[in-house]
Parts: sequence; structure tokens; C-alpha cells
Amino acid sequence: MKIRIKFQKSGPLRFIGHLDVMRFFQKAIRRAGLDIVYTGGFSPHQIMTFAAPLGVGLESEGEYMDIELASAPGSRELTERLNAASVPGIRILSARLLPREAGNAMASVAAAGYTVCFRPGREPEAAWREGVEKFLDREAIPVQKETKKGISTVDLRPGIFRFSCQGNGVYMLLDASSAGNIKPQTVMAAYLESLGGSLQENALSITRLEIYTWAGEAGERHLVPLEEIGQEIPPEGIPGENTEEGPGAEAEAGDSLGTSAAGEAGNPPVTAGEKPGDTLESSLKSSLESSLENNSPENSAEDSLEAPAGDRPGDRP
Amino acid sequence: MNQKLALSDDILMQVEKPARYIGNEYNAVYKDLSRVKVRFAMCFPDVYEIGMSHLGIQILYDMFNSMEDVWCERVYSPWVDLDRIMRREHIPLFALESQDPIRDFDFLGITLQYEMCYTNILQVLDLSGIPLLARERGDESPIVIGGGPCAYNPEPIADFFDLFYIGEGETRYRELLDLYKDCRDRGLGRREFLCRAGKLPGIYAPGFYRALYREDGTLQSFLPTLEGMPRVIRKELEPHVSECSYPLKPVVPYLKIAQDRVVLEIQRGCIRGCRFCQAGQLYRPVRERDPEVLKRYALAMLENTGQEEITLSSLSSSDYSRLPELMDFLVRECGKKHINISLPSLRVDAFSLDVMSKVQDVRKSSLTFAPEAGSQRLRDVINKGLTREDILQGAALAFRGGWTRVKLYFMLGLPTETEDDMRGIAELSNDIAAAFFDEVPKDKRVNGRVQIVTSTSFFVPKPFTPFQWARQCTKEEFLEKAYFTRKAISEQHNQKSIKYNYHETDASVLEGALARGDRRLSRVIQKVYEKGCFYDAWSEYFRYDAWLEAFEECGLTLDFYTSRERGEDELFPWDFIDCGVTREFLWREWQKALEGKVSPNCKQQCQGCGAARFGCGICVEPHRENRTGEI
Repeated sequence: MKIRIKFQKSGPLRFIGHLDVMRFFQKAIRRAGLDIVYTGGFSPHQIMTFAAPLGVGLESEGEYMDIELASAPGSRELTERLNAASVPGIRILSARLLPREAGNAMASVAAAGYTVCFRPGREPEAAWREGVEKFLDREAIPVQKETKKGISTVDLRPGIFRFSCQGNGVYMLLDASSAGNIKPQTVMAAYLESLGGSLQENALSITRLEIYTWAGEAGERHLVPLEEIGQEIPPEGIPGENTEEGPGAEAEAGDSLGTSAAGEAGNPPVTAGEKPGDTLESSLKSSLESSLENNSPENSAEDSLEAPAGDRPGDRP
Repeated sequence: MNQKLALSDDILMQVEKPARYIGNEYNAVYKDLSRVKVRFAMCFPDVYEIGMSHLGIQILYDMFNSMEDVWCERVYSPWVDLDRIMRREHIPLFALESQDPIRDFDFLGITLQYEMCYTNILQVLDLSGIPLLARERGDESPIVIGGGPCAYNPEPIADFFDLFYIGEGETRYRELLDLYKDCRDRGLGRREFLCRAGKLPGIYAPGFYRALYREDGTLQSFLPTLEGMPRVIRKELEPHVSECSYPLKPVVPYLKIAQDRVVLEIQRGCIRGCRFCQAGQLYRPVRERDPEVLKRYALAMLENTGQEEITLSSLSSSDYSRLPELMDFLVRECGKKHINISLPSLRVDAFSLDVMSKVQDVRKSSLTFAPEAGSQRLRDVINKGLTREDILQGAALAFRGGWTRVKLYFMLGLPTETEDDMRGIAELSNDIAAAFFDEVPKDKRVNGRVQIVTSTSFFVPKPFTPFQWARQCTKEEFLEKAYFTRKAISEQHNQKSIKYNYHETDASVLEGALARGDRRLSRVIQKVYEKGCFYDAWSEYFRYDAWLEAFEECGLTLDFYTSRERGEDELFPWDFIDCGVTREFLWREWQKALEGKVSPNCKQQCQGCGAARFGCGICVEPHRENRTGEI
């Protein structure tokens, strides 16, 4: 069965790179004694997928990985056991069972929310909060991007779902899909350039808040946090099937069990409708509109660094 | 977790692998400073990924931190990129756990694992803001103490250290720290502490000794300058290896390090007595750990770290008498848990091949033989008990088992070496390739052919070995030998199956000078460091020309230390250390070597080396019969 783990990465651990985080979890999962499924062959490895690599230097409130377990304890116990095997800078926030048909964490990623702040002394000189409306009104925001083949031009505009000033920084909701991923620092640089300024070196302190995927039918698609795709595992957990040895068999057994458990609970994949407070505006277009609404400086000052409530599933009651 | 970082985000974002400098690894130890009486910074003077791979530091880190009043933290050499920034911005070197400056610690312990790290010691002292020369340090500087294999000839770096700990760390540190606390409480000052520490068993305080030299440059006398200082320092040794502390919760790094696995030390010492090998003499007598203890350790360490690989550590694992039992247990337990077993260099025979085929992918792994010398005559000179038949039989077995890759390790420049011996390297490589074509029928050759990788390193004579009297080859001689060997290999029938590598000559020559050097080399090392050299162990940063200049500026020559013949009676700079093995025994072995006579190993017949006076290990235990009998 596939379990989606949400975790936080903070403090000095922001300097641990993505590959090292993967290696960290491989060991933490062993320490926690989880019944993880391995691939076959002479160098078996744990079945594990990360949603989106986080750049070195960034903190995050909402990182995701999917792991394949043969049997699982309840969500709460799973979270506690992983936390006991972790370090303080990496805290597990939730562990939820994915429905069988759910896409893996990496393939599902659609967008990510960030707070982007200026480090003390590196704020831009200009009245930098004044140009958001104009920036977002542009048909296209072309930037130069260095690739292996040379320099190419990319349009940032379609990938900016939301951009609103808050206190010393900006909340951004950006395309994070494999095809259209854009980085918050690129967007900030383009924004400051549109004001005739430029981004100083290492001027930004960035926190990723959440990673989202699309949910809903065509035409009514909306973004939901990745953890919303899964559901709580009841305290008694889900037993494994001790029929056949071998990863393939285990994985299948796990899958069918996972689905039946979901069926018992009577919940189809959790959707936005059940947790209205947790979801984002329902479409790309409305995201944009609301970002414009939220854009006034007065508004920002009050909101401080907090994203609008609707953007913070972590704040759920 | 310690939220504090000694380096700013700007710096950490600029340097390669910032994870080297932030601490906070799983199992790293954090303590409440208000309850700590002694702060000890433990340093491996090389980059994090190398230093973190070292078992000795994990042992001492665990031992110190099990003491309630001591907090031991780690520090490694900053890589060259951070080094530049720290010098430019005057950032003092810091410990990983607390991120506090090293200069505020009570002790800076530096492990001395290889000679080529000596300039990095100066880098660490310099970045810490500690005076390079021990005699210039005041009460405010930490006590700088060295230990590890190179401490058995500490003289080339004597000027930089307040103390050296000679031998295994498990035995005397508690006493040393208690003495330190006592001296501090009574306000006795640095000099008085060092003076008292120098009288503790196993502790050498170099500042209280003077070396006098003859006109020809050799040592005339080496004596204490202070009443009561011992004239001879005897090495410390842990007699009860199954009862002493062992790090069951080793620190788990985030970065991929050189040895990223659980290390199980199954025994200390070696029965073999290969005449070129320093470790084989220094760690006598061989002491085996109880297999039941090892099984418990293995499970605990795997559980406490989550590592996916375990390896056995010892000088010669095949000689561990309970190896089959231990391997059975590990193969069974690790198989259940998807844990790899990485095998140390085992003697290649039916047993080891069977074990290897269980834990490795035969098609991908390679077999390693270390004949060390190309001919039987020269193997007898070095007392390497491995015959041509052993090697060919082992290879034949392996080829039948599916292996197609073989690595061979040899040394060039061994005492008494002739062209025939070098040709022997080529011929043995060729014979192994031929064995493959004999053993494996054409239709069963998986990759079509066999791959033999033959590597030669250059022989460097080391203190406390029978070869401590031997002449080392010059750089030019080394090069000639490498070319000769390469040519001999190219003339073999199966030369297409053999790939030949040889080590760098410059570094081997310098290593030789530092290994058998005297106190005057401290000035050379300091001069080289001041020319901007460090990370000499990394070929991209090693500058041979700078070293030659420094020798010349100090009025010394490399040849004096390397290619000079040494007489029976010459006083060596390391002779004031008693490593257990007597000089008489080493001389006897040197004479036997020159006659090409082998010596039986410790299990076969005691050679009276002197280590029996420690009264432990193989010297007192009834000898268990080894599984394969003896060669």
C-alpha cells in the first residue's frame, strides 16, 4: 500500500540537499522499523518517491514523499515512530493512505506555495510593493533561462498562480509540475526587474509552505494539498499478508488491502468539498483574481507573513 | 537540535556541500554546557567525508561522551573553498555540535592516520587561532594532543603538539582529564599540567625532551630535559577488547561519506608479521572479540543507525577464529533486513567465495588478491605467507564461481628487489588470466574475457617494522621500476586482459621522509604550510616542488631521510617509544628478510617479539584451530 508522508524541514537542515534527505529517510525508515517494500535484485532499495526536490537553503512546511509499505500501523503511530527516528529539523506532520489509483507524489505535483522574504539589509530600494498589479497584468513575462543547450526564453506568466505582498515579503503560488516548474527566486527577479530594480545576491529567504495537486473534474479543477489525496489510517493499522515472499507479491497484497481499507471507511479519495476550509480557489483564473485582491499594501501589513487562510491547510481546525 | 550556525547563510550558500559544517546529524551528542567540566574537540585533519569514515574517532567520541563531565565534539578540515572565506573574514574554526570556536575548548585532540595530513594540522590550528608552535601557547589555548598510528613517530610534528597519546585510547584518557581538572582547580597553569601529564603512562610531552644530532645528521641522543620525565614511553593497550566501550550509536552523516556503513571491529592486531606492515607490529598482540558480543553489537548498531550496510574491520579477517559462525549469523540476520554485508579483504578460498557469493552480485563484484610481491623469493623476504599456488587455486575457484574481475596489489621498491621480481608481477597477472581461459569454457564466458587490474604502490619503510633500517628508493628509481613493470606486462601473452596502474612517486617519497623523520622536520612542515600548502593527501593540492624548496631552506635533504642506508646501531627518532615489539626482534626479522627466510605466524609458533609482556590476547590464550588450517 502507498503511504503519503508529509514533513517539515527547518533550521540548519535547510542546508541538507535533496539526495541527502532521501538517504536520511532510507535510514530513518529502518530505524522506525517500518515494513517497507524493497525492490528485488542484488541491490534492493526501498520503494520511495519524493514530490519535488527542495533547493538547498530553503525551509519547508510541507514536503512530501510516498512510500510503499507491506503492512502499516495507524497514521498516528506511524507519524510518532518516524518522528522518534528523525532529527529535530525534520518533523513528520502526517502519514496517510493513498487510494490505489492515486498517482505518485512526483507525477501529481501541480503547484507549490512559498513565502519569499528579503533578508535584512537586502530589501530592494524601490517602493517594491507598488507594481504587483501591473506585473500580473502583463500578457507574458519572458525570462532568459540557461539550459544545457544554451540560453532559451521562458514565459513565467502562465505559471504564476498567485503573487501577493505580505509584510517583508511575498506569497507566491507557482507552477511546480515537472513540465512547467518555476522557481520563486526567478519570479522575484523578474518582478523587481519590472520595477527597474534588480535582485541582490542571496537576498531571499524562502520557505515552501505547501505542495498542491489538481483535483476535481475537468472544468472544475482545483488545487488541493497533496496530503488531501490520502486518508487517515485507523489506529489498529493495516496488516500485511504473509502469503508469498518477494516484493512483487507484497506490493500487490498491500495494494488490495489498502483499497479495501479505504472502502470500509466509506471514503472515496478525499476531495475539496469535504474540507472546504482547506482548499484553494477553484481554478487558475480565480487564483489570479484573488491574488490581485489580496494585493493591497494595507492588506499585506495585517496579514504579516501568513498566507491567506485558504492557502494554509496546515492551519486546519 | 542546535539552531545556531557558526557560518552565515551567505557563506553556506557559497561553499560546496554545506552539510559538512552544520552538525545536527542523527546520534550526534549535545550536552548542557552548565554541567560540562571538560570540552574536548576531536579532530580528523581531513575533509568531513574522510574524517567521518574513521572508526577510531567514533570510538573515542562515544567513550568521552559517556563521561558525564565531558562533552566531546567533532571538527574536520574545512575544504579549500571555505578555508579561503574563513581566512578572509577572520572566522574562527568551530566544532560541529555547539558551533563554538575551537580555541575556547579545553582540549583539541588530533588523530594522526597518515603522514600526508601533517600540513592540515597546521591549517586546523591556524584557523582556530591557536599558535602553531606549542611553546608559544599560553594558558588560554586548548591543550593540543595527538594520537593514532603516526603518533608512534611523533617527532616530525613534535613542535606543534603539547602532548601525544601513545597507543589505544581506551585506557588513559580518564586519568588525563582528571589531572587536567585538578590542575585547573588548583590554578597550576599550562606548563605544570603538561609536566605532570608527561609522567602519566602512555603520555608523551615533547616539550620536555631534547634531541642532539651528530655531524652526519643522525641522532646522537634523545633525553628528557626535566627530572622525572620518563626516558621511554610505553604504548597503551586495551587488554579486554570484549569488555571495553564500543560505539553502539555512531553518528549517522547526511552526506555520502567514504565509508557509509556500520563498522564491526572483530579483533585488534594481526598474527601475520608481514615485514613491511607497521600496523601488524604496532597492535600486537592480536586480541579477538567474543562473537556473542559482536552479534549483539551488530544488531544494536544497525538498529541505532538505520544503515543499510555492515562491514567487518580488522587487519586480517580470515584469521579471526570465529569468522564462520559470525558470518553465518550476519548473512542470516542481514538477509531478513535487506542489509548488505561488505566484505573486507578475505583470503580467497572456498569458504570466503561461498560467503561472497551469498552477499554480493558475483557478476558485478571483483576479487582482490594482495600478493604484494611478484616472486616467491620476494614474498618470502617480506614474509607474506601467500604462495603462487594459493593465488592460482583461489582464482580458479572464483572463475568457476562466475567472477570475471580480479584486482591484484603489489609493491615496487621492496628491499632486495630485482628485475626478476618485477617480471614476476607481470607473469603472475598473466597466469591468472590464463587460469580463466583454462577454467571457463568459451560458451560460458559471460563477458567474453577476464579483467585483471594490477596495481603497484611504492614501498615506504615505516618505523617499528623490520624494514625500518631499509633504504627507500628515490623518485627516479621508482619511476624506472614502474616503466619496467609496465613493459613486462605488455609483453605477456594475455596482456590485453591486464590493466596496469601505479601510484604517484612524489607523494611516496615525501611520505617516506615524514614517516622516518626527526624533530627538525617540524620546521620544514611549517615552511611548506606558510607557502600555502595543505591537503597534501589530495593529489590536486600536493606540491612536491614546494616541499623540496622547504627542505632546502631548512638545510635538509629528502635523501637523508629516505634513500640513506641505516646501520644496526643508529639511534632512531622513535626509539624512545616502546611499542611492545623489541628492537632486537625487529633486527632479527630484518636479517631473516635479507636471507629470504620466512617466520611462522603467532598461531604457529611464538617468535618472541616482546608483546607477550602485555599478558593478553594470543600470547596467553590457547590457540584455536583455524578453519582452513595454516598455510
